[in-house]
Amino acid sequence: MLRTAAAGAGAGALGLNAFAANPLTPLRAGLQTKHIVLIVMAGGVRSRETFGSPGNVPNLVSLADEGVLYTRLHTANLGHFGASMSIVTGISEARGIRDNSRAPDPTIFEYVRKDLGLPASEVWVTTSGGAQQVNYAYGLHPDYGQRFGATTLDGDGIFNEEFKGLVARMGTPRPLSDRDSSRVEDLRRVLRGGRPADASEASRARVERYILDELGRGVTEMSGAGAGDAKALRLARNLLSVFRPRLIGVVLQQADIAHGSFNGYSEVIRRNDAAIGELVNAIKGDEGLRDSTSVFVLPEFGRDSDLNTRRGLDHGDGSDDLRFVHGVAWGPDFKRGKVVTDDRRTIDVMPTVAHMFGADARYSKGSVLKESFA
Amino acid sequence: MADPLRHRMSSRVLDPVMSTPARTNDDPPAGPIPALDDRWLRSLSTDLVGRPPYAAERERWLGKPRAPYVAALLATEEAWRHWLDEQLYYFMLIDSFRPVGTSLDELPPLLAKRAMTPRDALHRIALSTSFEARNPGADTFVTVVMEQLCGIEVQKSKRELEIGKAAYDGDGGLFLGSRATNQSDVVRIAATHQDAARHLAEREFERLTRSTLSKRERARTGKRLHRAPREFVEVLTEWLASDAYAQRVALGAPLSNRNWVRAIYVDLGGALPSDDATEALRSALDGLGDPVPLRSAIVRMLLDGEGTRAPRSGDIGDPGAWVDTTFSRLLGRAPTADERAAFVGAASTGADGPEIVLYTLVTSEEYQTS
Repeated sequence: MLRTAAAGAGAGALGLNAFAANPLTPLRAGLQTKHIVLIVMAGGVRSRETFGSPGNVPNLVSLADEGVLYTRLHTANLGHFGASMSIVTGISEARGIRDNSRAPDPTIFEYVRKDLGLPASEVWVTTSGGAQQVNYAYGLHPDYGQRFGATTLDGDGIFNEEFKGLVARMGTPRPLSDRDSSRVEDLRRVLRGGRPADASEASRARVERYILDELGRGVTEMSGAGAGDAKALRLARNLLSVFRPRLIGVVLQQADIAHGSFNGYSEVIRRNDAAIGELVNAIKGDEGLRDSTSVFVLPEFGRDSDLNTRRGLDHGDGSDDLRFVHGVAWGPDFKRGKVVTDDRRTIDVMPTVAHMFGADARYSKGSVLKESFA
Repeated sequence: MADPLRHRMSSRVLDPVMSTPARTNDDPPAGPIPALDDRWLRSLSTDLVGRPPYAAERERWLGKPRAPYVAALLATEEAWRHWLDEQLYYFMLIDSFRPVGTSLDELPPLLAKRAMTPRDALHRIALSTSFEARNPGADTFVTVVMEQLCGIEVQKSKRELEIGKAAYDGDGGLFLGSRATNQSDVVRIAATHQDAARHLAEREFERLTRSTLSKRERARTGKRLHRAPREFVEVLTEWLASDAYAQRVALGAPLSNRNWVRAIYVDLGGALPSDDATEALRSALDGLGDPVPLRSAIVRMLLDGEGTRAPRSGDIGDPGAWVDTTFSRLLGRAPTADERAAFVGAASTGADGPEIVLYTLVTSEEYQTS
């Protein structure tokens, strides 16, 4: 059988810490931010159930108290996929609700990786919406694309009970031994016609090792309403501690249960707020992150004003409840306790992130949220 | 050192059957009768039944004409089960929305016997409880019906959307040119609309050939399928004999995660995984923007697993012959001289040599774009 590295090695023993970035400097003169977490609370979340019901979102309220609260972020009802995509591309563009394809435009992840020369392990996306959401990682623009894409993990996809059960039955695959790695690499080089491996192979090996390690942690066991979202947020928290990446996007989805259950929807919002609280607490408790990490939180759009006949909430009435959402910017470079009541757009967040990294979001249609900076 | 991909491409491009123009079944064959080599066999099998050929199929069909193979596959229930799975994936009826044990299970045998048309099958899918659960509420439901069935950009057809939503809620209206008064009408009108036939032609051509149907061909084929939906099999057969499909075979095409899971089980163990195992692995792989790292881990798991375990060096007989066959079977081509020397050397080194060879080949980019 293929000889493998020592069984049962944890992240540290496997050398994952070595993959964490070296101490980083801020990316833009005058700013302290080194890491950004962009949380898209997708699935359709009205302001009425967030900042209109502070009891649902105590952690978001605290975040807003310590940062900047936007009360009128204009959205476009492009379907969940299109509206969330517009946040990461900075361009409002119609996409089919069940479209399972890449956008033609670059995403924030590509701008940042390309302009800053970052490896894939520095830019991640965690999602909860399944196969469709891995399309947020990169677009099809010829100057950007897959080679600058984010490393994407869907919490409910990889860390599902069925997969874990299968792995348990068949035996957890372990990394190749050094000797076998060398034999395989020799053959791969021949298959490549003598060319050396590119950087993506090393990056893939790191990701593979991380996934196998993560399978042994508690993410798989999470269950109940909004478990997929909770997994995505937990993964983001774990990735921050293991890789300390420059940028993590988190795209949630499960609030869409609202179509059939208002109570379930409210529960998802409360659970996501708690998970965001845990994430922020982990940042605050980490010496290497607390003074250098910024967080953005915003839904992709809201929901209808009135309940439907199933006592749920759809999204298609064109009301202000649907078209405007609240959003938060928190971190060392933002004002504290500021409330912006003027109209802004959800697509403005992406160029703001790019601005903080010194990247040029050249195709974005949004504007930098300048009033948020201290 | 020779570039194996270049070798593969040049050997394909020089193949006289590659330049065979698109034909219809009514045309007499022009030039050499297209025959099945490993590459064609693997591509057709993957595209039509979602797995590589079994050993017995390979033995039976290698060197035989392509057309009877295509006809034989399209008459199987397995091909239409695969077609149905592809459609369910297109509608994102997967994971918790995947219909299991429903009336949709009746569709593959009916489609294989041509007792039902693909248009009718899509209609049934859109009427299923899974589709309803996946697309809850008037706005989402009607939007998805218009987008997915008819290829309509709803942002440019807002009036039609509003009429469809009203009909969904029980109010009457003229939806896509026909009178609709309920949710069922909305589905029926969309599924049988000429735009649906055009959209089906467009996306099925792209699924098979990985290229885009020209506007003119889209209109022509859409009109044909709208008038005669039973001719879908003839349309598929023509596409599979076209230059566009020959190009897809020559260049290779990335294996979807589902097809990769099925391929790796068949290639390593000679049998398909259970549906549950397929879905668990497919779902896990779909959760990664780049599935390659997890695919490699799964391969290692299988190479050490019951039923898919790699042979030992003492089991393979002549290493040279084994490497030749393994290249043809997995990559659809012969090894170059450099490859043959290196892989025969590896297969002969240590008891686990064949395992190293198999691991290298099935985790290669070439295998994953076959």
